[in-house]
Amino acid sequence: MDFQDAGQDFSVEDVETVVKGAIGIVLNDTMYNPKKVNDWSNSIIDSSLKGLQSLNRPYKYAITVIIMQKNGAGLVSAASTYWDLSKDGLCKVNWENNTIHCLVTVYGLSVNVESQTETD
Amino acid sequence: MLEQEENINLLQKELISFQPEQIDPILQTAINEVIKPVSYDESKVQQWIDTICESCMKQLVELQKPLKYIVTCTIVQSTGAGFHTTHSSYWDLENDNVVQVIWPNPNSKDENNSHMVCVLTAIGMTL
Repeated sequence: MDFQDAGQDFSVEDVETVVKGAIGIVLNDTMYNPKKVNDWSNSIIDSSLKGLQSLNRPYKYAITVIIMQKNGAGLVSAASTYWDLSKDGLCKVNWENNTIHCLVTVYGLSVNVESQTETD
Repeated sequence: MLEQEENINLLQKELISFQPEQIDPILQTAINEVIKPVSYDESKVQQWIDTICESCMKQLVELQKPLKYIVTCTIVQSTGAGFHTTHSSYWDLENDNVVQVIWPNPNSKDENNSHMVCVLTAIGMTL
């Protein structure tokens, strides 16, 4: 597979744009509904991953989506990572409306793109 | 000869890939040590989360596998609010993996008087 711009750093802005677009399409004008939450999560993830794939970068991705009903409950989330500081990165997108909190985190880990001349 | 080769390949794979069976007990221990005995306390939650993440990461690195790790911990206060979390990844299907632990275990009948739910996820990806 040919990647464009191999060796480029993780671009937070590009990923953020992809994810915000995905959330906006799925959760626009919705009220928290426990029956639909599953479908919303899956749709957000599907369209985010497709968008990220189309960026065509040499990265592996992990996406986590948290959807929570707004009722005053406390939520604290933290992430710890052990990776290549120069090339890997994460992007957090927070979205809310009157009844829903949505937190999407995308972790991008760079892949070594080897040249084709490696022999067995 | 072929069988021996296969066995060697399996051993090699175990050494370099993320094995959920190995990781699950590490995560369970980390949670039980920090938040099993306590109730939700807003001022202390940040500290608990940091401790859990740090101790998990330390033990994962000690396994000395050629993997990059991501450890995520979320603690939610139980007030009846709906809470849904999903995870999806785009990676190497053979060697990369994710382990997720939810505490308290929904199937067990432990006393659930801590008024909180903790979701701990560990992701391992090959270099």
